[in-house]
Formats: sequence, C-alpha cells, structure tokens
Amino acid sequence: MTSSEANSYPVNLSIGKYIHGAKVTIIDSEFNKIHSAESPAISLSLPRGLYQIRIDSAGYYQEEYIKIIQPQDFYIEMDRYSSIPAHPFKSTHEYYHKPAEQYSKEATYKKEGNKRPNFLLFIANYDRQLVGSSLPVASDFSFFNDQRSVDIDLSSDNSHINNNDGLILFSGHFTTGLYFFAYRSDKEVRIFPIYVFDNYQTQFFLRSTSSPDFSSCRIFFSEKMQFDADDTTYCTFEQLLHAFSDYNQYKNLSDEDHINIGESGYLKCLVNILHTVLRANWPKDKPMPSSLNTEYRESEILALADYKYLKNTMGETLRDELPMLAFVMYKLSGNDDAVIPLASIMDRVAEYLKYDIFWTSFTNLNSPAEIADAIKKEMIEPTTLEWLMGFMGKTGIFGSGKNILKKEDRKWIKEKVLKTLSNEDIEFLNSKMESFVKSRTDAKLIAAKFNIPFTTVIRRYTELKKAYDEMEKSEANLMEEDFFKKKS
Amino acid sequence: MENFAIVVGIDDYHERPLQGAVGDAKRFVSWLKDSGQIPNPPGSNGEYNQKKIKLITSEQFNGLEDPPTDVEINRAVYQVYQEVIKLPKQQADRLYFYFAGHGLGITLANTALCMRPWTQFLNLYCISSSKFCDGFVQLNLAKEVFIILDCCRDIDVLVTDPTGPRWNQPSLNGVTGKYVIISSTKLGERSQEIEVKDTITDISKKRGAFTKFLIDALNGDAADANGKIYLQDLYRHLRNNFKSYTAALRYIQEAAFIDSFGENILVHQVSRPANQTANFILTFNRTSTNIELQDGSFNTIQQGPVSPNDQWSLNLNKGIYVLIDHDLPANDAGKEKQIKNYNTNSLSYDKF
Repeated sequence: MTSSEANSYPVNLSIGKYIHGAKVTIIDSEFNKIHSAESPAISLSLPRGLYQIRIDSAGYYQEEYIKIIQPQDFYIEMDRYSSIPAHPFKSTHEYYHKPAEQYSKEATYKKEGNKRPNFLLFIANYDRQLVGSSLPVASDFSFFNDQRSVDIDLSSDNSHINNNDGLILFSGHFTTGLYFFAYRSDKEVRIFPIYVFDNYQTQFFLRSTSSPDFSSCRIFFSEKMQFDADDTTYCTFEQLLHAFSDYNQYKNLSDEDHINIGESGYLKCLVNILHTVLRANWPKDKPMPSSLNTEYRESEILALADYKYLKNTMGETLRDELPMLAFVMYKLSGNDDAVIPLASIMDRVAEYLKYDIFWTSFTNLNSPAEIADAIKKEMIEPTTLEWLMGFMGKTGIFGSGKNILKKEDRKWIKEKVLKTLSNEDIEFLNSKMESFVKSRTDAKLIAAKFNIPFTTVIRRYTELKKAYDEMEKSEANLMEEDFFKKKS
Repeated sequence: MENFAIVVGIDDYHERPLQGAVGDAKRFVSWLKDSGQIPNPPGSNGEYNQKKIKLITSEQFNGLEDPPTDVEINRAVYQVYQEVIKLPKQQADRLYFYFAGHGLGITLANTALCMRPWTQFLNLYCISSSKFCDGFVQLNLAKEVFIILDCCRDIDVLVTDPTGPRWNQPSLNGVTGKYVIISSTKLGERSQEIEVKDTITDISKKRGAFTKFLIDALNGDAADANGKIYLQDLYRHLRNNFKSYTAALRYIQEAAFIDSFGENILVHQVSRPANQTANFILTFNRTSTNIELQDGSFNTIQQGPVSPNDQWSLNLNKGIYVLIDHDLPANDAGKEKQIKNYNTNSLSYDKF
C-alpha cells in the first residue's frame, strides 16, 4: 500500500438538482484531473487534501471546493437558474411562484370578466434581495395588437405590482391572434410578437434588475392554462433549448423529458422545427443521428408560424403570422446560407433561441399612426406612404435589405397601414411625397452603399447622407494608394 | 524574429461605448514589447516599435467623429506590407492582428468587428475577421497569422456579410502562411469587461476579462516546466481555466479557437527574471489578527496578522491554495478564499 493509499479516505459526492448529462469533474490541488463522470453520485477514495469540483453542462458551469481530512459525504447543489419561477431552479421562491400561480388562474386585467387568462406576463428581479429601486417602471411595458383595439400600458390598475418583492404580473384573457409585447425606456426599445392560441396559455417570463434582461427571457405555451411551479415541463423546456444550441445535448434528454415533450404541443413543435432544420442541412459526409427522424404529427403539435414556414416554401411571403424564432425569420428574409456545420445548428444565425432579435430593428416609433403624428409635429422629416411601407420593410419582415417588395406585399402593407391612418393623414403624407423624393436624387446610391431599402434612406436622409459622404471621402483617400486599386 | 502587429482598440462608439478596449489594446502592445515578441529597436526608448506595431484606437481620433474605420486598418496593413517587402524573404515570421471593441457573431469562423461609426442602425460598419484573416494569409505577409479578438459575438441577423480587406494583390512568393483565430467568447455569446484595480496606481479601471487572462497566460500561466508555451498548452489553459476565472467573477465565458496549423507550434517562451524573488503578490484589504495560507495538503505556508494594504510576497508552487481568516466565524462567507497559482515562472496577484 502506498503512502497516498494509506492516507486515502472513502468519499461520497452527491449533486443535488442535477441536470441530466452534466459532467462532474474532480481536480486536485495541483490541477490534475482525478475523476470525471456524468452522474449525480460519485463514490471514490481520495487522499487527504483540497479538491475542486467542477460541474459543467451546456450553458451552465459551477465550481466548489471540498477538503478531505476524513471519510466524508459531500452534497453540492447545482445553482440552476431560469427566468421561469419553477422548481428546482434556484431562481424561484414562494414570493415569486405563488403569485405567478395565482394570477395564471385569475386575471389582473379584468376587461373580459372572469375568464381564465390566456396570457401571463411575469417580470421579477433575479433575487428578492436585489429589490428596491431595481424594478423597472411598469408603464415602460405595454401589450397591444396591430389594430390597437388592445392597447395596454402596465399599471397598478391592470397588473399585480409588488415593489417589496420586485415583481410585476399581468394576465388577461384575449381573443386569439397576434399581439406585441413592448418595452420602451430611455435606453432601450424592444418589441416581441406574442401569439395567443386557442386552448393554450401564453406565458412570458422575464427577469430584471433596474432594466429587464431580455437575453434570458422565455416564452412558453401551456395547455394546462396555468402556471405550476412543480411542473417539470419547464425543466424539459430549458434542456431542449440547450439542444438548439448544440444538438449533442439532445441525447441528454431523460426519459421524463421525453414524456414531457410528448405531452406538450409546444415542445413537440420545437422538436419538429429543430429536426426539420437539421435534416435539411446535415452534412452529407456525416452520419445523421437516428434521433433526427423524430417528428410529431401536425395534428398533435402547436403549429407555430415558424413551423408552417419551414414546412412550406422558405420564400413564402409573410402575412399575419410572424415567426418567433430568429433563425426562421432570417431564413425567410431571403438569404441563402451555406451548409450548416456540425457544431452549431445554424452557423450564421442565433445559436440559441432569441425571441426578439429580429424585432430589435424597431425604432422608438413603432406604429404608422405614431409616425404620422410625429410627422405632423415636425419631429421627423416628411415622407410618404411608401416610406411607411419601407419602414416596415426595413425590419426585414418583408424581405432582406436587398429585396424589392413584391406587389402582393405592397398591397398587404397598404391595407394594414391604411387601417391605422386617417384620410387626413394619408393626404398630408401624399402632399409631401413628390417634392421630397425628387430632392433626394442620390438616395438610391446611398441605399446600395448601406444595403438598406431606398425608402429607409428617404426617411433618414440627413443622417445617412452624412455617413455616406464621409465614407466616400475616406475611401477616395485610400484609393489613391496603388495597393488598394483593383487590378483589372 | 521578424514579427509585426496591427492592434485595434475602440471604446468611443456612438452607442454603447466601452471603457476597457483602448486600454486592452495598449496592454497588448506593451506585452508585445516587454515579452520580446516585437521589441523596440536598439537604442530606442519609445513606447513601442512604431514601424512594426500599428496601434489604432478611438483615443487617437478624439474630437473627430468617425475614425477608426476599416480605412485606418487597411492603411495599417499597407504600411506593414511596405516593411515586409523589404525583408530578405519578403515574409514576416508572425503577424498579430488584435481587436478589442464591439463584435457580432456571423459564423464559427467569422466575427463582424464593429468600427467606431457602428450603431444598431448603421450596423454594417463592420469588418469581417475571417475575410481579413484570409487576406493576410493570401498576401503571405507572415508565416504565422495570429488573430486575437476580445469582443462579443452575439448575433444580429441583419449583419451577414461584413466588409473585407480593400486590397487585391498577388501573394508575396506563394501562399504558405497558417493562422490561428482566438476569440474571447463562443459564437452567440457576449464578452465581458471587468473592473480591475491597477496594482500601481490603485485606480479601478475596466478591461476585457479575456485580454487580461490571455496576457497572464502568455506571461507564463500557460507555460510548461521549461517556460515554453505551445499552442495546445495555450488552448488547454484557456479551456481548463478561463471559464473558472470568469465564474469567480459571477458570469460564464468560454474562449474559442480555430487554427490551420495542424501542428503544435511554439507561441512564446518565458523565463523568470533573475531579480524576481516572488511569483505571487497577495494584497490584503482587511484587518485580521490571524490569516493563514495553506497549500492543498493543509500545510501552513504563511501565517500572521494583517492590516489593509499589507502585502505578502510569496514563492508558490503551481497549485490551489486556501486563505483562512481565523478571526471570522466558521459560517462567514468571507472566511476562506481559494487562490490559484498556474505557473511558478509567472508573477500573479490576488487580494483577500
């Protein structure tokens, strides 16, 4: 027996709230890796000393230290986090999940009487200890639809706001369709497309300090029409998101995860989207995992717009249903991308679900009516109906910067825009149209230079013209050097 | 060695200005000089070798609204090219291209490096890291091209094809160069700035977590017993320890690397200065009657009372150590702290 064996002690290490597939590594005080396993329970003999325990999973990392001086059991709990206030995530507490459960069944916005809410918005601090001045202003959040027949700024009249706990909850029953959830503050504007479906409760979870952290927000659609902190479907949802980031994580879904997926129309749709994209882009020289063949019947899933577009033609023009997933929106914006490499699903787009990335293109003025109002107040330069269409086009809804709006798109936009503008507004805009556009003879050159729609240039002419002139001047200086002249 | 460098640091963006990028660029330049990678010419006491290091920062254009843009970077490449063609083999040994600023992830191999006029609206004011890397390799400027990026790589779906280099020149004597791209974070993720107190001035400043860790690695933390840092050693050190370093700062960041070398090249060699008697400086920001430093086997290395700003200069073996404040009760979160010494040759700092 060596001296180190003589001084070795049996040690049992247990990992609480273990994520299936997380790697647990034991490292000694000289940085040597002693043991590594994907297991919540490890038993081994270790010499006396200081050890580092590393727990590593997709999107998660934790390290702890243990001192071994005698036979001992150690318990380390994973600090799992999610914006969703469900167990076993450490980021919840009964002052979060209890109100969430309550207002998922009882509306805070009571215009529709006592109907069970089908939309739940949960905004909370990361930790109750961080409350006080760190909750965002409720009225910076709003919920509205395209026609503005629903147009709600959050307030204590329509929401549950608890400043002591750092919590804002909004819930209500709305007719099914497309809505927008917006956040507008001095520093940031974000707008999310939010769907309300038949027989589902749309749940939007967001954490915050003094400003909301959209990078960790989650959107979930629950057939249970309520939030239940003990529902393990939320854990499965988080695990599935890791598989979007790295498909190698898919095999780490447990049996319980697969059962939860099978019982959720939303998660089944996400699996279908994931597998549809991967099958279409899998490198030909690599064997395709058999799990990619999993596809649920359309009758069983919550058919998100994203799924419908992936199953139909990629170039199909968007109508009233807008994708939620950034990479689907990207595909629909007219870019043909290369073969997706194995390590990430979409090599040129978001590696993980980011629901709002597409909508960050919106400026502070987010509706044609507001734009018309701003024009009248001379806050922005006069422009045309075409510009309003271009404004929408700039966001990429109707194609990438390079595209030209198709005829049917223009017609659709006009109908949408006209709904929110009065005849007086339209007349006002049209009266400015001719002379304004004529005065911007270099607008097309500027549009080509910056790869943005012509009508966007018209709208932001002064700013873009300045940038264009400076760029041209710098490039002219550079091109004086032979080194930079193109060889014929 | 005939090495060259183009080093870019941009803080003063019109939107979302940074605080540490210019400082990091300057620190990288200092490393190039002090490490001997690109020393000053003999007899020169200048800040750095201006013929071989092209430093481009937003600070240099203070008062002017727009630069630096890709124009300044292209011009710097041309100036390097003019020096390289004077060399006997018309090829440098190594070209460093370092960038600290905002960035956007395009692909695993391509990051859009945001120039100063970049805004969320004017989001096409970017250059492509992979196109510039290809440009350097195609031009055959150097046998080894090291691209180091300390910037975010989160995605803007509207930025798909950032600008490439503006030269279109035949390569100097065929294409033989290889490259490595070391990114501070993975595709789709952010890169963080951290607050660091300057050890001399004691002023708190922001800097990129990755650049600090990388320079410490190149100064010896990633070295083997002979003081040599091979590419695989550097990767291993970044892979094993950078995540742990950022976890201690309460967030997770992982570096990413791509290379075309196909072999384990020597990146740098360090040696401990003859007059360096310590390899770890511990500074105390507390008062205690009994602080104990233990090694991994619980042997006492040093013990005694401390007051704020006291320092222990230590000579530690490679390993993990634990500091214990015996004045505090057992359940006090500030009672113990683990410190890590990655290498006996490099000088490390920590506080307790």
